[in-house]
Order: sequence, then structure tokens, then C-alpha cells
Amino acid sequence: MPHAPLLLGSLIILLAAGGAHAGQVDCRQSAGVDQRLAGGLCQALRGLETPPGLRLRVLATTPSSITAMLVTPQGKSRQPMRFNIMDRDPGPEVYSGFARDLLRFGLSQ
Amino acid sequence: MCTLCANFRPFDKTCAFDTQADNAPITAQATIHEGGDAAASTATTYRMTVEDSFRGRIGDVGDSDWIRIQLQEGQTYRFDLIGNSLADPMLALHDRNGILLAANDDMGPSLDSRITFTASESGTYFLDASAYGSHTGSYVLTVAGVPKPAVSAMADLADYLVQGYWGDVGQQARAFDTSDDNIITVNLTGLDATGRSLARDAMAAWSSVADLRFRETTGRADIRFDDGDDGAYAWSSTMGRRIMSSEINIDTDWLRREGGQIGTYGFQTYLHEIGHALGLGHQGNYNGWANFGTDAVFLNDSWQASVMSYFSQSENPNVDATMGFVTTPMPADIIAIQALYGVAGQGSLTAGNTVFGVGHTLGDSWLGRLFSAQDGNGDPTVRAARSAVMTIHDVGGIDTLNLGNDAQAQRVDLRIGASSDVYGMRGNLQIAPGTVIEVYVAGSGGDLVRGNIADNILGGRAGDDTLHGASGDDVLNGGDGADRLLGGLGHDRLFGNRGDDVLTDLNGNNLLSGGFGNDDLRSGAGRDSLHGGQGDDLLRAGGGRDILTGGAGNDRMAGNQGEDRLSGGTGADRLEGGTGNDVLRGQAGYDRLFGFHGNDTLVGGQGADRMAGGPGEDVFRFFTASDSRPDAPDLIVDFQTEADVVDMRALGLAYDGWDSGTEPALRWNHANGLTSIEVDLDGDRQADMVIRLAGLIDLQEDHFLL
Repeated sequence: MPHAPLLLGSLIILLAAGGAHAGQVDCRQSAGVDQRLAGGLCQALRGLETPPGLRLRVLATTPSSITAMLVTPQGKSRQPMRFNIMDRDPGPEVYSGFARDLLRFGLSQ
Repeated sequence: MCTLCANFRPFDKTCAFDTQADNAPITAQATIHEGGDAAASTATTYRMTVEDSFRGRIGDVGDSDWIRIQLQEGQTYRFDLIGNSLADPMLALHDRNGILLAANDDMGPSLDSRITFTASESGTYFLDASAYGSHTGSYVLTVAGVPKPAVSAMADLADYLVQGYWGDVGQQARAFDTSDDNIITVNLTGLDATGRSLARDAMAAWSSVADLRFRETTGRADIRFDDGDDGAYAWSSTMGRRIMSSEINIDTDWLRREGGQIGTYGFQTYLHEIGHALGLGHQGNYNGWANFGTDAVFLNDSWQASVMSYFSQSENPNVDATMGFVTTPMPADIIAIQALYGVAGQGSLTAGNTVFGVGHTLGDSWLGRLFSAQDGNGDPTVRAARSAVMTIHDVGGIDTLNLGNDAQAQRVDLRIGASSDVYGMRGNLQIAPGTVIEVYVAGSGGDLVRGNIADNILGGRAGDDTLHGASGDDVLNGGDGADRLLGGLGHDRLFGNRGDDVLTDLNGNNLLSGGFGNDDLRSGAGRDSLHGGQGDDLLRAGGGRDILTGGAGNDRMAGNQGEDRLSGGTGADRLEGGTGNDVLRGQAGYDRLFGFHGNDTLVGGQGADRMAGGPGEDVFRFFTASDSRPDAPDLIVDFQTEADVVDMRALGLAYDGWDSGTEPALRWNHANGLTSIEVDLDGDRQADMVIRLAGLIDLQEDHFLL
């Protein structure tokens, strides 16, 4: 097996090739998070109408939860939000719900 | 997490020291990274300990990473292999020689893997992380010690629903912010009619036990319901400890399959998911699937305790209850939801005087319809009403539980937190914490009913019932059948009614009434009244000034200690005064009266009675000639000339000999070993009344009260 790259705690992996664009979301995740969950949330957020230059930071995941925050182009953010699902694994419908709530509650007022 | 351990040599929990204290090792979690490919054999150089995480990678098809671990005999461990970029991990466990002990591919619906294992001996074991098929990618392997499950109090189970669960999954307890008002908005537009009906009923069930009100809206809402996605689940978004919003999905196929009525698993699912939406976790550290033997945290984790449990009554081997679907929040749920939102207030469904069951006062609520359906009033929104499992919760007032429509033998316990058997099921009715039911009406079977600390009124109705008032000033009505009534503590009133009943109350000042039938009444210390009623009864009082009346029939009664008043009533009765200065009245019939110790008054009444005053200065009292007619004379068997007297004051006699002309007169003579007192009331020199004394007694004037 080839060596896996050492994941440092502070490393941020860029998910969105090319970075943020107007109407798009720049999705990044902390080391060690479940890429399926982070990717699902990112994908769902991109399916919504978002302010230009919005950045998603996925901070942590468990099999049933995602902790994430939104950052505006001006660098403003609210405290992270946590999404958890009970009685099943997350799917597209759930990611969409998470994304909606992130936009509703997760942007600084 | 111990950062030092993680970054350097994170193999041992004791690698970190608290230099600020006493250099004692501190427990720490370590994260170990697979720097070079782990060998697929016992030769692996990687090792981890309990609570550590191992982050590795399946780089090639067929790759397998082995990690050494030390396990302790008798301890249960949970090994979780979670894929990051690895889509379908597989996990195995080997002993120190590399022999396979356990393996798992998918845990329930998830593609991740889990093994729960109890070590049979202490020593070295090897975890083996691999992938199904040709999958590759990164993973994380965790090891946790599983505490041995124990039976815990409902408060502990509730605390787990509120906090413990979230702590176990690395999250915070949460709730909606109801500091301004107790309103939670809900949007039901995503549901069909059946779903909306169930959602409303389930919300009513939660708001009946907690200080919560649900308000429907068609716009943005705190909780949004949907039925468009597969399955049943709930998710919440939280900020800190505050729930910002929740969404519940229960698809229409689920309800078609499980039922769309109260009393089905479909309704229970709504209760469960709303519990999540409000902030409750599961009753154990499981989510999506669970096995009782390996996943239970509490030995009493089942639907009997919580609708948030994954285990039915039959799936938990420690539960003695019939499997049935839950129709209300259960005891642990009630404590938990009240911890989050407060106790249901005076405006709630069961506030004030409430009748549950027959003749309920719950209107068209979900619970009212359920009770109506139990009473034979079919309701399309309720199924299998008498198979329902419920917890009765009440707020204040004098409350009645009437299950008089149940023909099967009940075992009912009204104590707070107790479980009861009704409608032929076991454990299907519980009393919620803090709930006091004052009045209970049993059915027509042979029922066993136990009261609580309140002043209870318990009705056994038909059947051979056992009613136990427990503490409080209780009223027990046995109804028809051979009943057994136990008053318990407090000043109680026990009514046997029809049938051969046994009434016992040894504490307090009690009233015991046997009613029809041959009853057995027994009281203890205290001023008790025992009434045998019709039938051949046995009445036994204890200490205190008791009143005993036999009523019709051949009764036996004993006053025992205290100054008691005994009345035989009609029939051939046996009266025993016991110690103390007692008054015994045989009344009609051929009675036997025994005063025993003390200065007793014995009144045989009509009929040929037999009286023994016993030790002490006793009075044998006669009121009319018919009390001891010549053809049916009374017999005093132990007249003591130095102590006893014959009281004939009511007859208006004078002790002036037999030759008093037409004046009433009395005399005595000796014959056949007896002393006969003869009374001439009309002056015709014929005895109108004869009283016999055992033995040849030389009577004097002062032996009479005239």
C-alpha cells in the first residue's frame, strides 16, 4: 500500500477546484472529516441560491453529524452549526436540509 | 485528545503526564496515523489502546492493515471502522496467533463496520482493517470499552436521553429555546392527511406531558414534517445547545406498512421522531440499528421505559411485558422532556380532575379516542386499542382510572412509576413519575389492585378481587365476588359487598363492612367498626374501642383488646369481648357471649343465650321477659357472686319475694345443678321469665340491679 499523506490537524483541503466564484461556494474541510459528508453538504449548498463568494468550512464529522460554518467574503461568520441525523445515514434530502439551515441561521446577521 | 501523544508516540495512554500536578499518568485519547503500510499479519508494528483512534488507508485492492491491541478478560469492547474516502470497509478481529475471532462487513444499513467483542482472556489481539471488493481509501478505526449494562432508575434513563446519548456521540444536549414562550411552530404541509393526523396526535401526546405547545404554520417553522423521502428519520440543526430547526421524514410507504393509526408502529414512529426533533437522543449509544446484547447501555432499555428505545418488550430479555406499540411518551421520556421544557401546566390535557378510561374526560384528543375505542366505540384513527401500551400522566386534581370494561384479570398498581397488567396484557399500563391517580375502577375479572399514597377509592366490581389500599385514607369496594380487601395504612373504609369477602385493616381507625356473604373481617389497633352484614361472618377486632355488629346470620366476633361493643344481630352468634370492659349484645337468636377479662356487660337478647362474663365484675343485663323466656332460658355459666350482677332494671321489678300479690316478683331455686332465677311479671305466680345460672348459687339482693 502506498503511503497516505499525513493529515495535520490544521490542514484544509480545497474541495472546489478553482476556488470561490460569484454564486458558487468555496467548500473546504478540516483534516479527518468524512469526505462523503463534507462533499454531500457542499454539493447541496451549491444547489441553492447563495451569496457570491460564500465559503463553507466543514469542521468535523461523525457518522451521523456534520459541524460546519459559513464565512462571507468579508470574513464574517457566526458560530459553527452542527447537523445531526437520527435513525438513518445522511442522504441528499438531508444534505439539502442542512444546507438550507446553514443559509438561514449560519450567516452573520 | 492528547496532542503530544498524537504527534509523537501515541501508543500508550500513560505517555502523557500532568506536570502541574504530581506526575501521575492521565488518561488520554490518542490518534495514531498509519505512516507506513501496516503489515497484514501478527508482525505488524502498529498498536493502539482502548479509546484511541487509528487513521489508515487501504491503498491497494486486497490491502489489509493489522493493528495490535491489548484486551482484558471479561471486558466488552466496541471496534468501529468508519470509512472516510473508503466506501465499504471491513473489519476483523484475530487472537494473538492470528486466528480469526470475529468479522463484520456492514453494520446495519451503513457500509461501515463494527464488532462488539467480550474478551475471554487477557492478552494480545489484532484488529484487521480491509475493504470489501476493490474499494480503496482512508478510514478511521476506533476502540471503546463498553460498560456493563445495568438496571437503572428512570431518572438515569431520562438523563441519558437528554445528555448521555449526545455525550456518547460527541455532541451537546440540545433543545428549542422556549424561554420567551412555550410555542414550537410546525409545518405539516409536506404530509398527506394520514401523516398530518398522526403528527398532530403525536404532538398532542408530547405537549400533554411537557410545557410545550405546537402551532401549525404553512411557512417557516421550528419543525418541518415531510413524507417524501424513504424511511423514517429526524434531523436537527443546532447552534451550541440550541436547536435552530428540526425536520422529520416518515414516508407514506412506512405508514402503509406499519399502520397509520394510533396503536400502530406508524404512530409510535411519529412519537419517536418528534422526540428527536425536540432534543432527545436514543436510549443507548446506537443509531440506525442496534442489537440488545451488544448495544444496550441499560438492562431496562426497552419501549417500556422509552419510546426512544430501539428495543421492543420482547427484544429485551429482562422485560416482563407483552410486546405492544407505545401510544404515549413513556416514563423516561416524560422525565426527559420535562427536563428540557418543563412540566405540563394547568392548561394541559390532563390538568384538574381527570377521568381516564371508561367515561373519560379527554374529549376528542388522541388519548380520548384511544379510551373510547377501548370501550368499544370504534374510531378509524385507532387500531388494536386494547393492545396499546401507555403511560398515564396527570397534572393535579382528583383523578379516576376506570377500566371497568375489562373482563380479564387485572393486576393494577397505582403507585407512581408502577406497571400494571390490563386487557389481558402484561405491563401495558404505567403510572408516570409525579402522577397520582386517586380512584380506580376494576373490571369484571379477578383483579388485583394496589393503591398509592393518596386517599384512594378502589372498586373491584365483579370477580374475586384483591384490593389493597396501601397508605392514605382509602375506600375499598369489593363488589360482587369473593374479594380480599386490605386497607393498609390510614383510616380506611372497606366494603366487601356481595360474596364471601375477607376484609383486613390492621392500621388506623377503620370501617369494615362485609355486606352479603360469609365474610371475614379483621381490624387492628385503632377505633374500628366492623359490620358483618348478611351471612355467617367472622369479625375480629384488635386494640382500641371497636364496634362489632354481626348482622344477619350466625356470626362469630371477637373484640380482643380495648373496650369494645359487640352486637350479634340475628342468628346464632358467638361474641367474645376479650380484654377490656366490653359490651356484648347477642340480640336475636341463640347466642353465646363471652366477656373474658374486664368488667363486661352482657346482653343476651332474645333467644336462649349462653353467657360467660369471665374474670372481672360483669353485668348480665335483661331488658324484657322475652330475653330469657321459660321455654328458652338464658344460661350464665360463670356467675361470680362476689363480682357479677344481674341487671333487671328495665323490667321494673322489686326484690320482695314470691308472695307479693300482683306485684312483679322474682325468686330463685336450685335444681339439676343449676340456679334458676324465676320472674313473675304479671303476679299470676307463674314464671314469665327464667334465667339459669350454672351451679348452685346462693343469691342475695345485691346480686341484682333492680
